[in-house]
Amino acid sequence: MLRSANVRIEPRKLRDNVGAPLVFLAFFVLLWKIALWEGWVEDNIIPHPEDVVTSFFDLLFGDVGVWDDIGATLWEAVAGFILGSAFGIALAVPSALSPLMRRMLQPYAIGLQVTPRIAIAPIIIAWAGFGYSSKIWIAAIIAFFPVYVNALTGILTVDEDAREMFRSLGASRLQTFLRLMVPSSLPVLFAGLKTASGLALVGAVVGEFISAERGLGVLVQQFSYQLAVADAFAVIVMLMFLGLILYFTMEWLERITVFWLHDKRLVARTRRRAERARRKSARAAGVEPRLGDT
Amino acid sequence: MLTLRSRTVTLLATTALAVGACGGDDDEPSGDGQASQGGEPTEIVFSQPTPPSLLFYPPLVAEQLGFFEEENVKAELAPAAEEIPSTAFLENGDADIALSDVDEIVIARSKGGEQVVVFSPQHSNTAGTVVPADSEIQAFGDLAGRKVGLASEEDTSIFQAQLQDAGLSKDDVETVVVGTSGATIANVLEEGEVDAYVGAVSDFTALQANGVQLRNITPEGIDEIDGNPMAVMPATLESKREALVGFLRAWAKAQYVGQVKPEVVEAIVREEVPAEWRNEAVGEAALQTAIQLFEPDDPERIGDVRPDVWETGQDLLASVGIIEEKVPIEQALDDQLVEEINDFDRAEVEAAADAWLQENG
Repeated sequence: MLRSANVRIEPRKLRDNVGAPLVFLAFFVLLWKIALWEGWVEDNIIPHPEDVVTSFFDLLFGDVGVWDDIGATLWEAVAGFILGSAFGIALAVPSALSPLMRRMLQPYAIGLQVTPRIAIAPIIIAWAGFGYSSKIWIAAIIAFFPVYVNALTGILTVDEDAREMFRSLGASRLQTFLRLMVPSSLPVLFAGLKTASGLALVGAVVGEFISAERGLGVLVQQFSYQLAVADAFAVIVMLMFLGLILYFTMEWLERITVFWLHDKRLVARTRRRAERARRKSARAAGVEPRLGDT
Repeated sequence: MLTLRSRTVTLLATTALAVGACGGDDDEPSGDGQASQGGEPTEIVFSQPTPPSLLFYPPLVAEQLGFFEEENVKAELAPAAEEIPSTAFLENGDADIALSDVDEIVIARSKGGEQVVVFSPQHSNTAGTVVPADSEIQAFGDLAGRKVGLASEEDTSIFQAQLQDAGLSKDDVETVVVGTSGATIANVLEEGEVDAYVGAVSDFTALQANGVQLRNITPEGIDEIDGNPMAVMPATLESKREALVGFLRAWAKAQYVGQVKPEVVEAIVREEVPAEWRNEAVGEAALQTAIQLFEPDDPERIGDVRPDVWETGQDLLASVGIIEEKVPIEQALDDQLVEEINDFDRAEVEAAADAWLQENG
């Protein structure tokens, strides 16, 4: 293991985070090929994996020009996620602080969640129009519930001992909310945000199936119509990559926001603070600080 | 280090950005409906059941050959799936003109709607019923006791009407919705999971281009019903008449190009919708089908409305109880614009097409 002041390269981490998924992918592709060789599935329903790979790169770098469609779907998903999350958090906070609000809002939030999206999508489109707005609203509606539920749960499950300590120290309700409840709820909230990021992508595609000029959902339909199944699957792979990007973006945001959950980060922060304090003291004493001195 | 306050501000700013993105109006029809002032083109929002597609080539061709520009019209497409009645977009003002279905218009009017068909570009039905080529089913009446796949629930009413016409009831046939995915349709037909399929002619074309041999058993009278007539609300017809005529004239010109210069249409749609040419055989077959569907009964009256076929359509819907009371068909159709729409120099249109091909071919 190489070590510098703050950087370590861990081969085990590389093996776990990259190697393990690749091994599973290889196993899955092998199973896929066996299914096709043995005739368990027809290749006009499930294409050969190598055809999917060829289509994937051909669509990205060939004449079809799918980047506008990728951009459209990504924009709808991200905007819908932000909008749905904002509403989820905005409604979860009063629901957590007021049992009356909670009783008022909860049945409708659950109702919205269990309503089939394909049923409300045409209504949304009729209301919001044909442009990006309708797809963004559909994505927002789908992303709303996990954020609402997780934010509500996170705020409601604050450690009672900590809450009692704040009370005994004379903290106001606002202080308790901002300094205790919000930080305590962040881990659970981020779990909901990670779920919602993928769901927002689903919502964007559902909206595109109903009404869109462009987008990855439109491409799936166009390729399915032509029986170009390898192309359709390649677009699905693109959607998977978009979903992964969104998920890992939320995971990265979680790591920098909820840093105390990740021990190594906490240790690194503590070490950096200690190093800064040591250098400050050394300069104050007129001694040139040396790297690594304790 | 970011404080909680600064993180909150960032979050709120991002949320405001998202709200602004979805609250902005990027797709409503232009407000005043008056003829363009100072040379500004008038926006016409038209609804069709697909995204930009070679199956509906006229607006693509009209845009590329400058026909909309000549008519001082800005055409905005509002695509919506078949599951959404286009008549709803006309009623709530989301679209100025919509490609609809005969049954949608008749049903909407029977419920008090005021939609009026002013232009009917396709003088044959875009839907039908097919069986595998080697099937023992020879005619629609042979479907008794069989299982039929439907493209969507939307096809149920017209399918029941066809059954009635053939002397069958809906209880004589089992139906199942199989969707519109080409691979799925091919699989259920070839595996015998369904004995027949009710869907769009364009779906049949794609299947046949991929080697799935089919036979069309759509009853003759049904075959002649207009596909995708274009309807407007009377208020829009009054307030945007000039722009609507311009839009439809540009459409008619493009439709004419398809009849006389199909190679130009092919060149344009290959450029405009390359995703629809991933399967060359399907692309070519679909374009040929589209051009055939847009072939008018009378070349001098592109888009003519035909009361007799509408009466047939309404009779079918009434026979199965889809509508309780028939509506006066003459009130649902208005051919006052057809002559004006067809008032263009066909030689000039052909010359424009040739010029485009020379420049871009």
